[in-house]
Formats: sequence, C-alpha cells, structure tokens
Amino acid sequence: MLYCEDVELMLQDYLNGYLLHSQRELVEGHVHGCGRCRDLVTGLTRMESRLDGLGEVEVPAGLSRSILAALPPHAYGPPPWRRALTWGAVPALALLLVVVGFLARGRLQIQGRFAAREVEIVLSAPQALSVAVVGDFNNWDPQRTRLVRSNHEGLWRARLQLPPGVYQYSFVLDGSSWVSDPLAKTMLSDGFGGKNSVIIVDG
Amino acid sequence: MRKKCGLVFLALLGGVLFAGAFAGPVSGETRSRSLERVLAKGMFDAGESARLQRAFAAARQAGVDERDALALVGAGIEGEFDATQSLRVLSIATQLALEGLPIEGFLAKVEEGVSKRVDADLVVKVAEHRALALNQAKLILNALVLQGFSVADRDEVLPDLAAALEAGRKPEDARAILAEALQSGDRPGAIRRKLFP
Repeated sequence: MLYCEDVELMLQDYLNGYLLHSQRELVEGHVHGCGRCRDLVTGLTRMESRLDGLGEVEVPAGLSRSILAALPPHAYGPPPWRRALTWGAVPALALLLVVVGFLARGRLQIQGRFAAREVEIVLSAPQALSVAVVGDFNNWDPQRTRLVRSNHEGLWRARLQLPPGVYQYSFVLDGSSWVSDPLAKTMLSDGFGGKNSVIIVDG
Repeated sequence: MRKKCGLVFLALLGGVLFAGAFAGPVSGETRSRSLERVLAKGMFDAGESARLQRAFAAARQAGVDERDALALVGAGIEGEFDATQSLRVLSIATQLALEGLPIEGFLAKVEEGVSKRVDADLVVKVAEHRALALNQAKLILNALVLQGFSVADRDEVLPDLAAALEAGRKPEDARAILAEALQSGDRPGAIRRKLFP
C-alpha cells in the first residue's frame, strides 16, 4: 500500500514512463482512490502537454556573456551572508565563550547554595526485620531508602544526602507498619489521619 | 585566516546544535508514547485517556516538567484514581506552574497519600490543601515585596513558608517573622529556623 508521500516521490518517474509495471499499478491504484493525488496527476499531465505544445527556442549567441555583463561586480564574490559569517566569527566566538563562562559560574553558585548536606537518621526497632525511610526526598517509596541494622540492640541507620529545606518523613517497618521518628523535634499531621516527622536541613 | 575563523565558528555552532538536539527535551512523539505507556497501566476508557492526554499536554504547555507530569499520572494510577481525580491533580499542577509555583511539594503529597494507601478522594483533597498553602505563601511574599522588602531567595523561602503555613502557622505570624528576618538580612537557612522554631 502506498501513501501520498510515496506517490509524490514516484510521480515524475510515473509521468516519464520509467516505472516497472508492478510499480505503475501500485501508483495508479493509489491515484484512483485518492482525490488529492488524482488532481496532482491531472494538473501535472496538463502542464506537461502545454509545455510540449510550446515551440523550440534558439538560444541567442553570447547570452551568458551579456547576462554576466549586466550583473554588478560584487555579484561574483561570495554572498553577503557568507561574508558576514566570516567577519562575525571572531566576535561570535568571543560572545559564546563569555556566555558559557557566565552560565558555568551561575551553575556553580547555584550548586554551592543548594549543595546537599549529609543527614543521619537512626531508629531503634529491635523487633523489625526491615526498616525503610520514606519522605518528600524519595517520592515516599519504601523501596528507595532502606536502613541498615548497625548493632545487635536493633539500632537502624541511614545516611541521606539532602539539599537545604524542610522535609516530612516517616519509617516503614517490615514493609507495612508506618512509624514516626521518636527522635524528631517536630511532628506534623499528615492530613491523612497520621503524623509525619519533620527534618530541617540548614543551608 | 578568515576562512579558518569561519570554519571554527561553524564547527562550534554545529556542536552546540548537535548537543542541543540530543540533550534537549524529548520529542513530542516520545513524550506521548511515555504517557501512553503510563496510561496503558490504568483502567481508563478511550474518552478518558484522550481527556488525560489533553490535560497532560496543557500541564506541559504551562511549564510542568515532563517527569513530574508523568509521575502525577503514574501515582494516580497506582493509587487507583478515577479519571476525574487524575484530571484534578493534573489541573492543579497546571495552575501551580502557571502561577510560577514549584510543583515538587504537591507531587510529594500525592505520592505520600498513594504510598500510605489512603482513599483517592482524600489524597486529592490534602494535596490540594498543599497547593493552597503554596499559593498563600506566594501572596505573603508578594505583599512583602509591595511593602518594599527584597526577597532575593524567593525559590528557597517560598516552599519553607508554605510548609510552615501547612504546619499550622498563622499567615499574619509568618508574615511578621519574614518581615523581621528580611529586615535583618537573614539567609534562607535562618528564616527556615525562625519559621520552624
């Protein structure tokens, strides 16, 4: 099956009679069912027959010379856009370097200001088999940040890299039990009937 | 020499365009495929999918990051949101973007509710409350700017202020604390500590 774009590509060969029989059938099949392509073929056929109807014209001797003589001298040189590009290359390059420098400097400053701080989170849960911390910093996904049991008394720890800001978080024990951080200085209602712990990371 | 400079410039320009073509945002086709893949996991009929795709496009048009918009739709599907609830969260994200407000906090609240397996209606309601807190924070900062205060670190102060309002701090108190902090030239970290003593 052909699309209009395919037919347009094959149209000139079709009109010149260069297509194979099978190709020709495919094009004709499409043109038969497509009003747009049919109009295109009809128009081109009509134009071709009118062009054929025009008589042959003899090229006058010295035509190229007389055309060139009528042109202004700068027309022989490179086009204006190319000259502008050549002369503009050095300032453009300098401008580009300046812009890149400013962007890099700005990015470094922003990175410095929002640089992540390491925060350690600890929970005592001797009975737990697994502990995860979930919060604004990890899409509240219990699979993302698991705590590691650090001793036999059941102390679980995790180190987080957090940019300055205020974060709400909670612990998930054994994949299902949600527990607030008893060491958190601030606790907030989560709006869903439970409580979240709050951690403030200084900038 | 001139020819060399021209060639160098063209090479640099080509490099920038080449890098831009690969580092820039994904094409419209890829984007819609990502959304289609996410939507395919939901239980939406063709009409609902079409409405969600239009809402997604509107959110992107308003400036919502593609990953955030996809995360919102994805969280809605995970939280078994119906089409109306999914459209609501996309619409709120669009409004936040149009207001020039960050949507990370709003997205986080939706994800929190979904992760806690809360009823979808309540998730949308609570997330909307967070969006309102962000808007209220913006109004307070705008009022301070109109009073002549310079809020240089607006992007950092705004979410902290919204969090303080959401935590129950009264708007007039928050405004007074901010005014005093800005007057004494406090940095965002110090302002944060004053909002959350």
